[in-house]
Amino acid sequence: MEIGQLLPFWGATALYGVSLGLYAHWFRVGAIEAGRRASIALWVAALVHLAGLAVLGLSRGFGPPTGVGESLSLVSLSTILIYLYLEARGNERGLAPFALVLVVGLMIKASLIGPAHQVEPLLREYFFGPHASAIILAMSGFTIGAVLSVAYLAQYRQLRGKNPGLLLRRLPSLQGLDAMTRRATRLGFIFLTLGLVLGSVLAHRAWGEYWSWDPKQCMTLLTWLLYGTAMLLRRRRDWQGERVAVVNLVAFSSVLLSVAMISWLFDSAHQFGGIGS
Amino acid sequence: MICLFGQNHRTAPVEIREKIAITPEKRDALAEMLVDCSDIQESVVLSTCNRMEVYAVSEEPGQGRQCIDTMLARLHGVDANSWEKTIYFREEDDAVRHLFRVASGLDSMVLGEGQILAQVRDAQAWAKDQQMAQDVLHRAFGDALACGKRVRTDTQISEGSVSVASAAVSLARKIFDDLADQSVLMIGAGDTGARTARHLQMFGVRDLRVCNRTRSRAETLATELNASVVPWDQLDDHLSEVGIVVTAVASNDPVLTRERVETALETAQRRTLFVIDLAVPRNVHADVSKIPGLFVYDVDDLQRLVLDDEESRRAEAIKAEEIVDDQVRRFVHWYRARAAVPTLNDLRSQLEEVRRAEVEAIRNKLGDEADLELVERATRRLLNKVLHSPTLELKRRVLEDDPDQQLREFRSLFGLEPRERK
Repeated sequence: MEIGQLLPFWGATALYGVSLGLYAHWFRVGAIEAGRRASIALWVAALVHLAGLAVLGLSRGFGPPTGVGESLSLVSLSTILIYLYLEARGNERGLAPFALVLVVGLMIKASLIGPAHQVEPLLREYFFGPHASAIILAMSGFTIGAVLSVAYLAQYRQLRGKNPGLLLRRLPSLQGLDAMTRRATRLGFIFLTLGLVLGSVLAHRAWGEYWSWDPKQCMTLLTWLLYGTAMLLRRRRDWQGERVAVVNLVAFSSVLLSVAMISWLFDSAHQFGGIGS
Repeated sequence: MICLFGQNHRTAPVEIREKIAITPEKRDALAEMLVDCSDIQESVVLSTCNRMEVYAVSEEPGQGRQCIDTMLARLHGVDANSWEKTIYFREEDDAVRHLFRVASGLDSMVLGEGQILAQVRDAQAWAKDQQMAQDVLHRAFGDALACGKRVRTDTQISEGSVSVASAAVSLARKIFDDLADQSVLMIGAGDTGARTARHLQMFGVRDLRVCNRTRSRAETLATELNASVVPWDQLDDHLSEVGIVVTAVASNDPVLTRERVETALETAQRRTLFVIDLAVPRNVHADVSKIPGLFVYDVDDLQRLVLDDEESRRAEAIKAEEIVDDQVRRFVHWYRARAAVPTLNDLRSQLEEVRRAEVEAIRNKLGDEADLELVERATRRLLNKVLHSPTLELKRRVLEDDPDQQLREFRSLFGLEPRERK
C-alpha cells in the first residue's frame, strides 16, 4: 500500500492507539512527565496524520474529503486538533482518554473504508469544498461535545456516589465541562446549519433540486433537530447538567448512526465514489 | 565536610522552636557571626515555622557545631543547654540526604507540601547574596531544589486533601469552575463550619452568608469572616440563591429535609447545589441526596476522602525516597570527586617539577630549539599518560567508604606531603 493511503488511515490509527496508551498510563499514575510524553506522542500522531492526508491529496491530484473514509479521517484529525488546542490552553489532559477512544474508533472505521480512488464530477463543484468543510467542522464540534458529555456523566456519577476516584483528580470541574460542551455543540450546530444550506445550494446546482429526501440528508436533518432541541432544553432549569449531557449523547448517536447507516446500508448520492458508485 | 545543625517539628515543641527561630531581624546578626567564624567555611540558614537548620561546610565539624551552638545562645540570649536535646547534628551524606528530603516535602508536617520548596530557594539566594554559601552549599541547595521539583513532577505526593475543610474545598472545585462566582450559605455558627468557610474563602469565595438560630452568634462570626447575616426565618430564600451550603448545627432533627430543599430550589436559577454537612447527628436528611443535581457530603464522607488521600500520599512517599536516593548519589559523586582534585593537582605539580628538572638537565646536549620542543612534548605526553590511570582510580576510590583514608593512602603511595588543613 502506498504511503499516502497508509498514513492517514491505519498509520494514524496506530499512532493514536499509542497516544491513548500513554494517556491512559498518565491518567493512572498522574506524573507530569508521563503526561508530557503522552502529549508529545499525540502531537506527533496529529502531524503525521495531517502530512498523510496532504500526501494523499497531492499524489492523487484531488484532495480529501472524497468518500466516507476520508471524511471520517478528517473529522478525527480536526477533533484531535481541537482537543490539543483545549489541552494547551487549559493545561488539562483529563479529556484525552475519552477523546482518543472515540477517535480511535472513528479511525478504525475510516481505515476499513479506506481512501477513494476516483472523484465524482459533483465533487468538483465550486460549493463542494465549503460544504464538506462545514460538515466536517460540525462533526468535530459534536464529537468533542460528546466526549465532554461522557466525561461530565462519569464525573457526575462519581461525585454523587461519594466515591471520587481518579476521574475527579484528572478532569476539569463539572461546571467547566458543561460550559465547554455548550461551546463545542453550539459551534457544531452553527457549522451544521451552514453545511446544510451550502449542501442544498450544491444539490440545486448538481441535481436541480434543493432537497431530495436522500437518506443522508434525512439523518443530517434529524441530527440538526436533536441538537437544536438540546440547545433549547438547556434554557430550562430542570434540564441542565447531567440531563443535557444525556440529550447531547442521544443527538451524537444520530451523527454516528448517519455515518454508519449511509456507508453500510444505502446506496445514496452521498457515498462519494465509494463501493456503490 | 558538610554538616547540619538543626531542630524541627519532630524534635522540638513549638515553645522551644520559637526560642531559636531566626526572625528577619536576627538573620543579619547570625549571618555576620557565621561569616566571622573561622571553623566554618560556608553556611546556609533555613528557618521556617517548622524548622531551624544551619547547613555548614567545616573542616572541623565538632568545632563548627560548638561555634553554631554558642552563636545561637548569644543571639537569643538563652542558655544552649535548654535546647540541646532537641538538636540533631548530621554530617556528609546524611546531612545532604536530610536537605534533599526537606526540599522534597518528605520531612514536612504535611507530607509533600509545596511551600518548603520556595523557602529552600529563598535560603539559597540569601546565603549567596551574603556570600555565606560558595560552591559546595550552593550546589547542594541547587540540587536539593532540583530533587524537590523532580519529586513533585514524578510523584503525586502533593495531591489530595489533608483535612475535612480542604476535602470540602477540593470537591467544591470539582463541581464549580470558579469559587469566586459561588455564594455560600453557612447554617450554624460553630468552629467547624467557620474553618470550612475560611478555607472556601481562601479559594476565592466572596459571598458568604451566615445563618444561625441565635442571631448574635451569627453576627459575631459574620464580622470575623467578613460575611453577611441571614435571619433564621429567611433561610429558605437564601437556600435558592447559593451554590454551596455548609451546615453545622447542634440539633437532633435534620434542619434540611428533602421537601424543604426541593421547595427552595423551585425558584432557583440552576439546580446544582453542593451541601456540606459537618454536624453529628447530621443536619441534612439522607433523602436530600436523592434530588438530582445535588451533591451531599457528610463528615464521614469527607473524613474518608482525607484518609484515602493520606494513604496514597504515603505510597507516593516511597517513590519520592527513591528519587531522593538517586539525587543524593549524584551530588555525593560530584562532591567526593571534588575532594580528589587538590591531591591530583599536587601529584601533577610534583611530577611536573621532576619533568622540568630532567629536561633542564639535558638541555645543553640538545641541538636547536626544535629538538627542545620535541623533548618537551614527549615528556609532557609521557606525564599525561602516566597520570591517566591513577587519576581515574583515585576518582573511583573516593566514592567508596572513607574517602579521607583513600586520599591519605594515595598521597603516601606517591610520596606527597600530607595536606594541611586550612
